[in-house]
Amino acid sequence: MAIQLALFLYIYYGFLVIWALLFLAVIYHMLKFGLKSFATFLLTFIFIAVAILLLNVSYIYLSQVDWSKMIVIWGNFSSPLF
Amino acid sequence: MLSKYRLPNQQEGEEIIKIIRRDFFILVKKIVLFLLLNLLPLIFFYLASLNFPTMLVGDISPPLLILGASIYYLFMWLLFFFSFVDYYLDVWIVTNKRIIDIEQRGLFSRVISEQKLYRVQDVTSETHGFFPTIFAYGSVLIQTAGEKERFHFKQIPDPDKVRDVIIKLAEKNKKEEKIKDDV
Repeated sequence: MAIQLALFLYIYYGFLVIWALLFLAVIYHMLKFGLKSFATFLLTFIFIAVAILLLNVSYIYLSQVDWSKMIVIWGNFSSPLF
Repeated sequence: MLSKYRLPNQQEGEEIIKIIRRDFFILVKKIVLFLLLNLLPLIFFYLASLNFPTMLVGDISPPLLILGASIYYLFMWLLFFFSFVDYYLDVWIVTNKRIIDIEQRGLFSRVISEQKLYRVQDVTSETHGFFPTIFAYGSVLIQTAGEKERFHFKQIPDPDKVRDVIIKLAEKNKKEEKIKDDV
């Protein structure tokens, strides 16, 4: 039996959706309940900027992968795991 | 958003005396833990490349490792952000009329309580442990009249000084309230 490598990418997207929802919830808390000051806005900006940087780096690496490849779960290993 | 210039239920002539957060050392501890957790995948990759040199080559394992590393670092950043917000949103505000305790308990729980200064009966400052003694942080416990639950300022810098400030303000407030009652 073989599965497409893209399946892992879809699972990754699932995690990404959960991550994005939680991240938005934390930003909401920071801006809704934080003290109105320059520090609050600056810190929120830094957290968002680093998150975007992480997403961008992930995209650069993941966009180079051929996701149409198949992984053999059992049977003849035409595409070795390592 | 909470403003220094517009407190909730602000009274006439009310001024902010002190805005207190947990000691900076508490944040430093969170940062150190975050950095250590960030090193874990790098140590894993280093050890794996020594023991399984072929792991980082091929068509299948590198994309899976990239996906795993991406998820790990994104969630680590989220956890750090969450942990920071937990630190940043815990605020104790001492005004010349009352004490406001704003406590973030996790992401979906928040407690705001306030107490008039003239109701303050007993103020205790506590410093326990090696790091609190070295970095001069600790707790201040405030007992108010008729209240079972005490106000608890946790891990704040200079607890002794904060206790003195609250005692002085409470005494001044009690005198003012007495004058008002007499009139």
